[in-house]
Amino acid sequence: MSRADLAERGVLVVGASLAGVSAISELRSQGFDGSIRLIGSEEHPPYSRPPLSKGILKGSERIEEIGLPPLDEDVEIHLGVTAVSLDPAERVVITGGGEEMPYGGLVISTGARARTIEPPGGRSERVLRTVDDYRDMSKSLEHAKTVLMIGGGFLGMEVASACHELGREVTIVDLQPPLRSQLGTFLSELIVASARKGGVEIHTSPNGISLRGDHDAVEAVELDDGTVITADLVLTAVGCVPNIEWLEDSGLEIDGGVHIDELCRVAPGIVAAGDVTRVAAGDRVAGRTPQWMNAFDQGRIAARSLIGPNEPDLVATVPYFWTEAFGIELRIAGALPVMGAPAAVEGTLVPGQPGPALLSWGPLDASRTCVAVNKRMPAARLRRLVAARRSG
Amino acid sequence: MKIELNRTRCEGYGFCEESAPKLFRLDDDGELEILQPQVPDDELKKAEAAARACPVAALSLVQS
Repeated sequence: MSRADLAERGVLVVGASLAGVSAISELRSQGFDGSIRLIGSEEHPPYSRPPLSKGILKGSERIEEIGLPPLDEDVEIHLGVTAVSLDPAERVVITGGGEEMPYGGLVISTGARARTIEPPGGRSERVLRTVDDYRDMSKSLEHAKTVLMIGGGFLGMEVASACHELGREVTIVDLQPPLRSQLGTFLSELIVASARKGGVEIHTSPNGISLRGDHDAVEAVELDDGTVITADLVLTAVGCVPNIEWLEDSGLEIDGGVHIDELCRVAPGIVAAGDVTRVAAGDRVAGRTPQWMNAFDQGRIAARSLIGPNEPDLVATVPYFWTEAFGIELRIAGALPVMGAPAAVEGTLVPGQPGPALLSWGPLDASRTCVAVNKRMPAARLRRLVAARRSG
Repeated sequence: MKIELNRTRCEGYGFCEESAPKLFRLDDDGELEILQPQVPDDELKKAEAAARACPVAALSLVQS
């Protein structure tokens, strides 16, 4: 793909997500002045999702405040438009309305959607992924005294925490102890202990669960020991699935997500970024990394790869993640989960009131992970702590 | 144009510093310092890039 081609036919970004927006700002910052079109299936201008399960749900932030930085006026934005297929040979994307959108360069940033437990056509589950989901959820929450959260991952714990803070009686159900597989025992216990102390009930049901409810809605869940838990509002937060169906006939490798290389390249003239991707290096295909910072970083990397030679940026390859639940705020740079107790602790970790503290795991090399607990710390600084070790 | 920073939104990602090092600096504690709140004309493009690069939309440019 030559630069002239790109300039002539322009760049098409499919998916008005953080990854898509980040790619667009990077294209402009790198001096690309050809046309850019963005299409997105949601009706809302691009926004940041993490606040939905935190400040927005708790009521400390407003929907109007979570917009992503506005794009330049010369970026053509089509909202409420869904891509239904891609023809890489002709370099055309077809939309749900039947429109053909030619491109010189394509950015795939269609993200992921909430996974549900029921098979298609089953009971409808309440999830939280989009602004519309949030509006539905907060309406139902008004009339609910008891909340049952199915899924003790990051999203499930954040939403459960917000409901608890709003005075609801909260129960959490998962196949495994909440957050243990994501964070490791040490960090997950900080949050779980705080949740229990606050009166939240947590059940694990390693052999599976089944949903109960007479009509469309889920009203209860049955655990593997036969216990049935009922609640006014039952929520599901069991991960996400990549939006790849529109690429089924494209010939691209999309098993479990769009396969990209380290520089976010998919095929000549096509890059991808964010929740929809998984990195494939040789025979090894990593799982997806459906996280905010990853989407932002990959958007930038994808943009650079699209318009010219690219090199990986060290800091941008350090994973960064944050979460807050039950009074524990974690900012994490480096790989997860972390095993065992931290190798070093700066600050205090009094049980019941941990932090402010800076913890680190692992030897002083690439495998190091640094975690700020209830400590406001700039993301760049935390990431550099890990990056410095990587290069040194 | 003048730079406005919403400090409660800022998480110190540092992309503004990368875009416009003459206007922004993360200090040793990683807190963001605005070196020139009043943007000189020759830095305007970079200031716009910095505001655009902020992933939490903590920066805006307002008419002074």
